[in-house]
Amino acid sequence: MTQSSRASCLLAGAASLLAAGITISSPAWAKTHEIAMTALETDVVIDGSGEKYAAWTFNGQMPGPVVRVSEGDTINFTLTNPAENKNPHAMDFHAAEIDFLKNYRAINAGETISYTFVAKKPGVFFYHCGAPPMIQHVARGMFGAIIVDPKNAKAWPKANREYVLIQSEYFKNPGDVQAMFDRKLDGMMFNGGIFKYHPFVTGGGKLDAKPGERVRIYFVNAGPNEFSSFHPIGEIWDNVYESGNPGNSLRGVQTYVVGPGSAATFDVVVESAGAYPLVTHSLTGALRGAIAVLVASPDAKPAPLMPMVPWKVATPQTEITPVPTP
Amino acid sequence: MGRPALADCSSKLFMSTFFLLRLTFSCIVMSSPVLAQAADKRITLLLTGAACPQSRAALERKVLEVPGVRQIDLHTVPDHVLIDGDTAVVDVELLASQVNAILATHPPCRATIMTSCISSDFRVIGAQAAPGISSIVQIGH
Repeated sequence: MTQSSRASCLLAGAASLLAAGITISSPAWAKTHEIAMTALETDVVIDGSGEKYAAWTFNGQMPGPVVRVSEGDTINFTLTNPAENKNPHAMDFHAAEIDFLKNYRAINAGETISYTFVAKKPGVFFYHCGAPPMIQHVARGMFGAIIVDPKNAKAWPKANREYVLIQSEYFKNPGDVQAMFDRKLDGMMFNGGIFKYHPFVTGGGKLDAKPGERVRIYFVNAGPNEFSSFHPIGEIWDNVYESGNPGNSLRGVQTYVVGPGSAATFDVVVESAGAYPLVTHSLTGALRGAIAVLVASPDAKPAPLMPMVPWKVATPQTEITPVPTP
Repeated sequence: MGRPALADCSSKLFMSTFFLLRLTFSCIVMSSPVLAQAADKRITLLLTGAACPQSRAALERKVLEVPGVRQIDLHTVPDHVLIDGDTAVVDVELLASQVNAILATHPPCRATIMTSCISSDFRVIGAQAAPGISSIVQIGH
């Protein structure tokens, strides 16, 4: 083989490898998503009395916005840390398989970081700020969920209704990092609210379904420390998918443990009308706020994936005296 | 969750308080130490009886006339009435009897204080709870 023909072969090989690489990372059905988030240090409402919390957030909400893509999609992500902030921030996507050092580094106020990853594995995944002290950044609200839908929609039963629930701990003094290390939590939240979906508590709402519907809960435990023992009172999980991957399926599960930084997808087919509280059966967490009541009623309105909005109090709470700090 | 945390003082207090509380329907009960200062609370009453749907309008109108009651909700949870009121003014047993007095004109329909696994009421029992939570919450089954 001559030198020029060897060079041609190498060039052709390199070209084919490049083409193969492109094929793997960007199949025809895959999409590319531009996801931009801004770290905002701002107050959020955390209970039905209107109590505010000095949170650190993605896009001003706790949890941050739900990112939803399909298996194989490419995510071009950008995090902005505005100059007005006082702290470094970062972003760690558990759905990504990329270099931690380069991509998940903390950026200072006034800086921006961008990186790209392919969501190769289906499931529901945690995302969070990884800036030190990470325990504080997570406790103060810098977390969220990314759902990677399986490219084969028939990999699991079709859900009639979907919700996202993110469990996290509440520490009343957001500056007390030692209390976070000591696990001295003051409340347990679903989607950034204490008893946010408990209709028997002032300001609390509920989750809706119709009897017979397959309700799919994308569940993330943001922690930062405590395990969730997720259980539907009055029901049994028809399916549990570890990490939300259809390939990791369990059937007929009463309670399933989701550790901090982990996630699972839960399906329940509610057989009859009534109320079905979804709780962490670690009762110190449930009784401090981690109860979401699923109300099954024939006249339940259709609903898309649960929007991640800040707590909205159903009635004006201006006349309510805040509960004093003990 | 909270395995190591249960060993510390606050968790011991929390757990020991559990066992001092009434266990209703095998439920564990918990409330706030600052209940007296809390302003609004939600009372949940279970409605039973064939005439309950017909009594809604009267119930909505007349319960709002009860001193301390700010809001009534008959729609959120089937067969239940959710009443928000001022804790300093509204007594849960008295309110239940007032509701039953209203319902007496629409028999058969009766209100009972919700004491199942996810009920709440005004009573003070002195356990630690999350800030902002001043009701008793019961859970279990």
